Amino acid sequence: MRKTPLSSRRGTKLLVALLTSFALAAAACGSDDDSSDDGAASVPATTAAAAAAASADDDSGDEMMESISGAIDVTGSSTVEPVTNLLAEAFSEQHPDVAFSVSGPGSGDGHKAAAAGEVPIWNSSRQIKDSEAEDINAAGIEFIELRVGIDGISVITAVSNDSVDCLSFEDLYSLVGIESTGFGSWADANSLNAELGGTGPFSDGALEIFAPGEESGTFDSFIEIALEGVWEHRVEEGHAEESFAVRPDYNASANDNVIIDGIAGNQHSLGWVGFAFADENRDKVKLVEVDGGDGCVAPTPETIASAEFPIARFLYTYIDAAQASDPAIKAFVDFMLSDEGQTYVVDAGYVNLDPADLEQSRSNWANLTTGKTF
Amino acid sequence: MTILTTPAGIATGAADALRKRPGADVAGSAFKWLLIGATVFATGFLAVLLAVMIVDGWDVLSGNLWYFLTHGFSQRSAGEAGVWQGIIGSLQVALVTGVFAVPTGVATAIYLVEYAQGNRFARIVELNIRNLAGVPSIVYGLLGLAVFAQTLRGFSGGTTAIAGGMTLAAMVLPIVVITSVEALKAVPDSLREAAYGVGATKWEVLSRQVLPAALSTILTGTVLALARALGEAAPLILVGAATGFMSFGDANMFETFTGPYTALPVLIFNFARQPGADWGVNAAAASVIILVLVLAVNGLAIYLRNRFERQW
Repeated sequence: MRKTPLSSRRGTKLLVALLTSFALAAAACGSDDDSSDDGAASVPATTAAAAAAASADDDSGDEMMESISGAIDVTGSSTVEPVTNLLAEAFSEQHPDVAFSVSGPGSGDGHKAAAAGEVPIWNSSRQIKDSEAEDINAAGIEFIELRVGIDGISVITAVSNDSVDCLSFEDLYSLVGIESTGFGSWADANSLNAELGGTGPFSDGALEIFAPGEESGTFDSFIEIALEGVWEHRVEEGHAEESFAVRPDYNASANDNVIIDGIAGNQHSLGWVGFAFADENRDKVKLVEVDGGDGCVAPTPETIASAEFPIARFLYTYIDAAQASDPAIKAFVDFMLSDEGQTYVVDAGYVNLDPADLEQSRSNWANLTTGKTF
Repeated sequence: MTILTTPAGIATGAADALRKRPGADVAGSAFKWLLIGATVFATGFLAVLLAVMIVDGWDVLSGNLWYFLTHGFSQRSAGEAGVWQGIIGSLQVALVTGVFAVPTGVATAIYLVEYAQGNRFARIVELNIRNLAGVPSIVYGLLGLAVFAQTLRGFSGGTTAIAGGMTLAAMVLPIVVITSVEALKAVPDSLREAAYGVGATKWEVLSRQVLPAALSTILTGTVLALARALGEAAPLILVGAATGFMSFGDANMFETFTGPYTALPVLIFNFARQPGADWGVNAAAASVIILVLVLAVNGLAIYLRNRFERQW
């Protein structure tokens, strides 16, 4: 015998109930969110004033600080993203009404999103390419270019390793370049090193390499700056493969702490991490001097800012000039270039700009200078 | 010995009697143990995964859970970061996904089964929908960016929760259609014929008999599809979900759907790529939270099935 079929009314009721509960859940979340925003809004009257004082080159800032609202989308380099996150977080505490969205798919994606007119602000861990600038201009968008900081990379080994003090780009290539694949000790690299005209021969020891993996911006920068010159030369001469510049057989980690521990635990280790992170761990790792062709230079904030230390790259932020007058965007970029804003560059693990570079960025912004300026 | 009164009882009794002969069914019992082994492996895998995440995320789950649930992303330190916006965003995206995928999917299924049953067009459509279910989610992300975020910018507002939800709706639509088709096909034709026999119109047969009868299976499939949408990160990242800091600003409840958004899986992705072990704890804790959410959704599916299931 069959049960009575479910009445349609019951079915409809159920659907309605489901949809209602979903809507209620969303409503509850939404209203909670509003109240938390209100809570935050009441706090920063004094901080806002402090920020106005701290914000440099900002004559009209005081009246704007009162109630800025709007939306700021930032995308682009994942390397620069932490700086923007810290800036946005601090800015948001002063201006809770501004909606924020920060993401970091990559420098190239940032320039593409800009050319599609999707974002007012985008970051890049390298200067914009001419082709990218043309694409953006072709979309009718003019951009303002700012340097915001420097990503310095340190070559590191164990503190107890006395046999290495300074390495040239040729040395680095002979130890971690694609042609060094399989080298298990420093001595293995000697013949290649001699061929390249490096500073070897190295004193022997087990060569253990710890460095960021392919997904990391530090990986890209290191290859681009330290390895690519020698590598391209070797490819032209037919010695190296064209596909990949770095040896695949090293200990790759996305976690800088793992790299530091690996380096510290192996006397003849070699690796690279962001300068700020290496600097914090000077008790565990030794920061090797690097010779980029002009003699050995030790990495310090000063040598990185002055571009004397060879493995460093500038970090850029680009702004759509047409949106520069938007109150929220203007206030945010003012904050980014302020002395307070610049402290977040260091907090995120990077190095502050040389004063002349910072001044150039500030004047680009103040005068709304468009195009490539560095 | 029980008294055998029904045919099924007699059959069972006969099987019992056979089974008592030792060594009579070696292949059968070997197969049974193989099945048990597979079940233990499958559930054991889940248990280990869950245990590892709970252990890894214990520092946050035990000491800091409330803060973690009620605060937004912070770059300052792992201890200051929370998943609040991710939970909101995931609910928003799931809501939008449901609103777009469920009516469209169920309507498609009703058309295929009740109106176009058996014709060439229906067969081609059904085959294609089944193939669509196997398309990688990242492809839907590209589609979402191009269609929902860019072409339909006027409707979705760009890279917003609406665009993200529509992208996931497109992704789970095949699942909704397929489960709904199966549910409708499972309704016996005798039910339809009986209704027609007493003079019901097609609309009455569908709305009073067939749909209510198929409802529990349709709901189960729909909820499972939403559970899958809840776990997706890759398509949302392409459709502009914030991986970093985000704030709703002064948006009201409705405006948050057309403003910046993020989702729990996107936050997990972000936590996992931050350097430092304490961010890993956050990633594990957030994973446990999303698992609880998905389990709750699946639990709802089971409840709905049991509540409205009909035997034929």
